[in-house]
Amino acid sequence: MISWLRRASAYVRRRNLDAELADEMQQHIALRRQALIDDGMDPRDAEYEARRRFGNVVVRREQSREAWRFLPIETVGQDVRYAARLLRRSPMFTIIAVMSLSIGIGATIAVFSLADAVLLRKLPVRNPDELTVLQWRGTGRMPAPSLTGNWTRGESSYFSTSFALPTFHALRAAAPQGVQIFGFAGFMSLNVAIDGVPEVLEGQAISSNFLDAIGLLPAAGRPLTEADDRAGAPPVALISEAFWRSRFASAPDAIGRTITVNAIPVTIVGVMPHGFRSTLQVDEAPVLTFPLSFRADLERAPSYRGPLEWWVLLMARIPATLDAAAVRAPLESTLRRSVAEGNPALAEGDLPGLELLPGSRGQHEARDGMREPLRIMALIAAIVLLVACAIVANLLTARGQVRGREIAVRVAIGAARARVIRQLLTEGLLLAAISGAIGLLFAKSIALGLLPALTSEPIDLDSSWRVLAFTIGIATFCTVLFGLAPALRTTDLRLAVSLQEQIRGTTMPWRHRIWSEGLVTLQVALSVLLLTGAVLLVRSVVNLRSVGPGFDPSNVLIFRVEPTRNGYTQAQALGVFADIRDRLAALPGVRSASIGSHAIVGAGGMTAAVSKPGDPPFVPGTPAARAFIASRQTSLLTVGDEFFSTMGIPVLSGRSFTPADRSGAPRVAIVNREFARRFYGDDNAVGRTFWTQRIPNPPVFEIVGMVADTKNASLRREIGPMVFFPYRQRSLESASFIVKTSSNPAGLTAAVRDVVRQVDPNLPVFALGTQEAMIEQSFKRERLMARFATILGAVTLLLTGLGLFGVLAYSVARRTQEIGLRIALGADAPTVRWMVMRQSMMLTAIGLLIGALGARWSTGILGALLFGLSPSDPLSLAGVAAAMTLAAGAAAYVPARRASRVDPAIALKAE
Amino acid sequence: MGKKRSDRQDLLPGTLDMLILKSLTRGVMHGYGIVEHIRLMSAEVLQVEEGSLYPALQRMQIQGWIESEWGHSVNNRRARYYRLTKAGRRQLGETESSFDRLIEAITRVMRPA
Repeated sequence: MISWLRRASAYVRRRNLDAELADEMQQHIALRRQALIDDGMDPRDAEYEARRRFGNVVVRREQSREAWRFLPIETVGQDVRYAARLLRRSPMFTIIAVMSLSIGIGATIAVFSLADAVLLRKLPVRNPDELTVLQWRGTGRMPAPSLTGNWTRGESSYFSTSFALPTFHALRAAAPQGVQIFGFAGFMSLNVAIDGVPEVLEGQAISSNFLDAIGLLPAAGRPLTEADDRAGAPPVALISEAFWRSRFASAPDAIGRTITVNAIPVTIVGVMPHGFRSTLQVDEAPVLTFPLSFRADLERAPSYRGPLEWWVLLMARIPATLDAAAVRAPLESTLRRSVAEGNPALAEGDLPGLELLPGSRGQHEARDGMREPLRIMALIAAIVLLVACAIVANLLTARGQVRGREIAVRVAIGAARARVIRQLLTEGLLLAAISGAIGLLFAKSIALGLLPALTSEPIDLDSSWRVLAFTIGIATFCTVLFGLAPALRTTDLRLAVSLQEQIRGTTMPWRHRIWSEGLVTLQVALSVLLLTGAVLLVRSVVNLRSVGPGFDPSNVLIFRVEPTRNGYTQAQALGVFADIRDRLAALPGVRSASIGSHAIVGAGGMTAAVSKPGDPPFVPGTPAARAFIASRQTSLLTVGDEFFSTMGIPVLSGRSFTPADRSGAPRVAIVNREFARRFYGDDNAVGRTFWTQRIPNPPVFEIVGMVADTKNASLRREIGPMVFFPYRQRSLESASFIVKTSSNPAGLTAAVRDVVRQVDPNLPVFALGTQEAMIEQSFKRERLMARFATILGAVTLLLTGLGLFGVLAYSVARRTQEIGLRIALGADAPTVRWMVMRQSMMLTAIGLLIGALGARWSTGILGALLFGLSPSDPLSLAGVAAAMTLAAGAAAYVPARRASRVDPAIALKAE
Repeated sequence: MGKKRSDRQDLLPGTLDMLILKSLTRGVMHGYGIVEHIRLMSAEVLQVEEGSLYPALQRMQIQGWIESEWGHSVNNRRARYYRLTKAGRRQLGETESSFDRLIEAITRVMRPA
């Protein structure tokens, strides 16, 4: 302790102490000299002998200084300053190194921050690790008559996270001591009017114990209570904190205001907690929050309060002191009892089992779909980072050769090898730190650019401490990767000495060659890998773009309205649709307009299993039944009379729909050719019948027309069977309008909104866009990934070219004598140029081979993103090989010319 | 110049410290004096490389075993004089007893009675 203080005080006075010590040592030597002279030695000899006996003054001073210096801290500062000076002195090197590293590190940080936001970030609630998500799994008959939400059909079972409202209440009541079960649901958009201005907003519903269970307080106002969560209670809502800020400027008078939601007046009573989005999927951020029971009013469907509609998502907070497995069993029996009560027709084997999933991050379905693309992005970023490190390692090694002499001297006067290595590593660390800081700066923009590849919804990408820690970790990792080996090699005196000797030799020592050429070959291999991936992705996008959708998507404007949200009845809604359509068709610049339940490509859709005369009897719940359902899946679309003419889909036989096909008239349908071929075996569909529900006396449809095949939902999917129903015979709550314009559709958006406003000023227009834009949207992920891979691929190609150039230039410089000799002995310019070119081609060939093997082995990861080609597509690989060969040739050009210009006289004389 | 570190020290580590401390029990000395003292008292057997003294002296000052001040030598030269502190005396006592134990043990092995 006290010695530490002494050391500190000595450190402060170190300059004085140092001078004093020098003085003292000189005095000592003087005394010895005097003594020797007194003994009779010659004064000059005495001086020499006195110094000899004293020993190495420099080293002893250095050692003495260690007593009063905080060695580690000081030397680190020294190293950093020295490293900075070195970097400043060689700007070319520093620029290339920093640029390559910052791109590599920036891309890596960007991907990590995406992964962090999507996969790692936990809900900002109290003790998120105590939360679990409830999921049920069934193996017999589907226990839910009607299910809203995610459900998955597996091999032998299906599972879902949606439950009925009475089941939630039963589970909540049956929860063991200490366990809180709460419910919530996100649902589709709502027609909202604030101060008379209609718009569409996202909403969710929560149980009254929701905020209490997640452990957060509202940011303002009051939370929802039990009293609010009853049928007939006055309608109330909470708004999100972000909405409160953006729309009401966080004014306290927002609380108590009345807004109209789906034509119902609702009072705002509070604001959701700050920084909290929801427990829903990672990309959902609802603006309005209601009590669970209110959904029935919003949807105008009391069934939402009953046992037949399954829509509530459930989570439980199980304190760490309790055993989750022990909690699950009683809850499962409550679940089964509740389901059986609600649906007595179910057999024992149909009742679902209960599973508890980790819930610290909310619902998992959206997140699961993002893992694959994130993995691909991570691979791409890793490749770029490795190439950047390889280039820097090579640059550092080359510089180490130049500094070989300086290093040798330092080691000779006593510097510890470890100390010199540390100084060299500091250089690398400084490079990595600078590049890391730059990379961090533009990582956010890269991440924002890549985000649409994962989801269309906005996600917060604010850096967490994890991203910062990751940045530091990556920078350190890079330093070790590219800095350690060159540092070890440069300070290896055996290597340095032999190098000096062989500088005049005819070839480079093979150990050195292997190292730097090996690095460049690695760069080539990695570039090939990345470029192959990029080419595959780009070609997929091109293929996707060239897929004919089966109709003419140009100049088509599409939008949606949902009148039933505002309280319209079915009949009234149909009237609204017809009215809007007629007005649209009358607009100048509109060639044709039609109604559709949804856009044919780029929107979701409905499917059903089709049964026809001659089918075997259907026994629900058996594997045969499940196979039957799977094989008969058909896309359904409800359309207006002008649909096919507006979309440009030819009617191949029969007719299109007419106003005669209305409610009460015989049920009709139009099918596409695929339907006819698949289910009837030929092109004669007209006149045949089918049905879609396997109940006693289902509605039967007669086919009155057959149209050409088109793509449905996505361009990727194979053409499948489709059925079109006339809108007058169906219940359509919302509809899309398809408007064919004579010129640019974007010019008509204002007119279109006007039309809707004329029909009903409280009816918002949403999902407005062109059909072409929707189609582009549908392969947004592929496009973005292709762009990411291509940009980074080009960067790696450039870096690899630079790396090759460096190695070749160095090689020519070292072999100047040999070249001079060859020229003197009669070799002509092309021969000499070929020497250099051959070396370049050799390295490239080996790299190509390794890269091609790697590509074979790893491009499978791109599987889901590719379209129209396989991961081992030989044409793409050939293209990449050609590009790499060209780059290698370009890299060799200048060194080759320089080699051919060597003047033998000068080369042979240089010693 | 440039001798390898490993063959500079002939003494066991810590022995130099002990010798210095012991020398200083004789009184206040400067660095040269300590070297001479060791040389003479050991009848020229122990030839400490003279420079190696100084790092040790600095170290022991920081540890508080000795303290120093500048003064003038006999021929009116400036010199730094070192003296033992109380802590130094204590340290010397400890080191001496473990040294004695060591020597005794070695003697027993080398010259069995």
